Amino acid sequence: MNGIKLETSLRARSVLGYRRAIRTATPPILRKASSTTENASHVCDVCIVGGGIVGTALASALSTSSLKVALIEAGNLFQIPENNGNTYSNRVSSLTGSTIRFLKQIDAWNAIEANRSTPYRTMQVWDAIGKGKIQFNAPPGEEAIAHIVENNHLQAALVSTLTASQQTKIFNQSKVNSIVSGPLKHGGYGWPVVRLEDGRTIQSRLLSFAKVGADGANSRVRTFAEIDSNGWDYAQMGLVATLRLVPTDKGNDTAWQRFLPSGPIALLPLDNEHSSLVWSIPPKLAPLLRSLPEREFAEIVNVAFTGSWPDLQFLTSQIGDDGSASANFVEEARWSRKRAAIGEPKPPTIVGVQHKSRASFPLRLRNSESYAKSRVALIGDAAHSVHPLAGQGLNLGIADAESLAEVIKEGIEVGQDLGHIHLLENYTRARFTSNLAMMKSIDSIGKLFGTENGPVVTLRSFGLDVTNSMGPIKDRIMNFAGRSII
Amino acid sequence: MQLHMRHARTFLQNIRPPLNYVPLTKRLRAEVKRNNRCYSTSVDESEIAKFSRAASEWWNPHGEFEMLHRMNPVRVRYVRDMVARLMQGGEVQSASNPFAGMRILDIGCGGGLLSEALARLGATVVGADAGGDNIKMAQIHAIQDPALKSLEYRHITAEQLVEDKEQFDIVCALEIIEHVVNPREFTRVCSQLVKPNGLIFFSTINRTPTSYLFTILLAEHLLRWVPPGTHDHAKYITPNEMESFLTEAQCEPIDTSGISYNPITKQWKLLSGNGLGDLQMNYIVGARKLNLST
Repeated sequence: MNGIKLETSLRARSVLGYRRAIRTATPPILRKASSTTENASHVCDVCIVGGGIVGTALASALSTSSLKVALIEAGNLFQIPENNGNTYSNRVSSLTGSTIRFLKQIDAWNAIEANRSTPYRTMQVWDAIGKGKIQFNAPPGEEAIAHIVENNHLQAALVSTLTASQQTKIFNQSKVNSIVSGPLKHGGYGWPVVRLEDGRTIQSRLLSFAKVGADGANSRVRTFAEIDSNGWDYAQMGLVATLRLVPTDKGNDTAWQRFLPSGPIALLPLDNEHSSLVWSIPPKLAPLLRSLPEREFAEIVNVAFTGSWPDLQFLTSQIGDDGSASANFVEEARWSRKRAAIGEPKPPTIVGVQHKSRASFPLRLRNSESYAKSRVALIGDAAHSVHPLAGQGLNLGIADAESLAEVIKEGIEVGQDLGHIHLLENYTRARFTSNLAMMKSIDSIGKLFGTENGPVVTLRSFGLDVTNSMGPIKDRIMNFAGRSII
Repeated sequence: MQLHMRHARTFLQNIRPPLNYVPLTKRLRAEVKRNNRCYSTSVDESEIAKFSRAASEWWNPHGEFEMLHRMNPVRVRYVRDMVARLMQGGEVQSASNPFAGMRILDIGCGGGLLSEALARLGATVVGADAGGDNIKMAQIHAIQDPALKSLEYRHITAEQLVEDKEQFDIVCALEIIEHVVNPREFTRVCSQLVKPNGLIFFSTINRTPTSYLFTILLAEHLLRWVPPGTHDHAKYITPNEMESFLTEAQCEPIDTSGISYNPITKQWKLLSGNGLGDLQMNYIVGARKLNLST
């Protein structure tokens, strides 16, 4: 009896001893963190590397949770985009219904000024070689097929939700120096540690990469996460520009996309007098088209939309290495328009290009072999990149952010460690297959139209026409493409 | 007097400038020493390394306990939902803090899988295990997460907790009753630790031919998902037995639900229906401790 009593009291003491052990074991970690000022370590639940649209969207979606979130961006997140009715950024995105629903949910959609978002209700897709064409209309009950929004305005709207909620610690204009797996000793938890160039460090239970920068972040991410990506570079560049149009009475609410053998060219409405251009071109043509005088550039775009393929080839051959035009582009375009086949879609006539709005970038198809590892999740560009012909890249990225936020919230509800691979697997499962399906279809559409091979052209003309006359199939394509092909 | 001195030392340690920061291995050694004091007279230095390794294997998401790791979120959600329904009037609780203000016992805590999750959800948790090694592993793992402040591990049996007159709002005895010698007695003892109107949860495996086929033959011997010898089929408990143990122990069984594993998706799922096949294998029971004073 005595023995039992003694044991009990010893046990009671051991309990107290343990309580103290926890108390004394924990503070050194925190003390260490706050003691060395030059290495002040920020400890958080989720650290997002890359404050682009997708990374900011994830931070915004998590800002209503109880989590401590850090967002690291090399550029300046607080740049206020111009809101001048006559000038538009050359980087725009076509936001689909599901993307907009999510943006509304996180209060970002209302923060986009009404005049910076342009719905389009019709989309005209046609072939420069065959006669195939197809027209999409907004599905019943939907206001539009998609909305065109400038990327910088979308970004600013997302950042405004973060500053409103104050939940996110923003590391603005901060470059990442290194990413390592933190040690289990010296005050670490074995979590990933991001070291910034200014010496600050951020420890997080979950590290999410949202952007691959030109600063080599890409390789650092892959080295750290040990995730390879598969894919290839298209022998194409994307050329973007903001174009001035001849205003029409009908208004500008149609998106136009024509498949040229060299790649698709698309015109996305901004307002009654402006549209945005996205043109896939051979790389050698990119510097020539960028330096072509503005008047000539407008005309060659007109020919690309309404002229024949030989006419366009002739004009591109008349651009000198310095971008000078050796033919009369205005006259050639006028003739080309006269020769245009009857019944061809008639997009608005382009009269000019906004000063300094032309830019080009290489096109790639990439998909990471997995989107998650223990304590790491890849979203958006860090996980995949697609050909912009379907304008789906950003929609897929935002869907990643939405899905990851959803999975994280499920983890919170059952008290899971948010970096646990079993939890993050749910994110990969939700996104990987659907992204892959979208990427494959976009890639094969591009390949199908990138040929002048006779039988293929006939078949695709037939295909486009048949599809155009069959409502249900068209609806299915629309649904699959998230209600947008451009 | 001795206790008094200890408090004084803790206080000093807390205000001491953080210059001489204590590395983790030392912290662990100190901790294991403190906790070992009453069980053994000497601490084997190699033990710390051993338990560190054991803890990392126990917590390895693709290791021996992968199945248990994957089951945990389902069990936690069940407890969460039942607590919301029966103790919080079905009201929607804070997503991250539904157990705030509650004291929960995780009996047979093992490496601390359930205890950690409950602590993250705001409960004050006591993780208890009769195996001292388990407690050391659980402690070693818990100090790797700064969010686990309201979590305490104790090398103690349920009987000893009753002797200490401990009381809890909720007692969880998950995946443990099939390992004890006398399940009826174990249920009775666990029940004594629950406050009147508090909740008690048991999860285990039904004693059926199906469970023999899957949990012993396939999982242990053929596929080696869990180490052979983990389970003894004769010790499995049928839902009827479980419910009668609970009733005898002054608890009112409220719900019995099956939990099934899909080896393709590697996901566990709570079976909400009461189909015939639902309780063939793993199941979880939620019961309420009767308030006999009224």
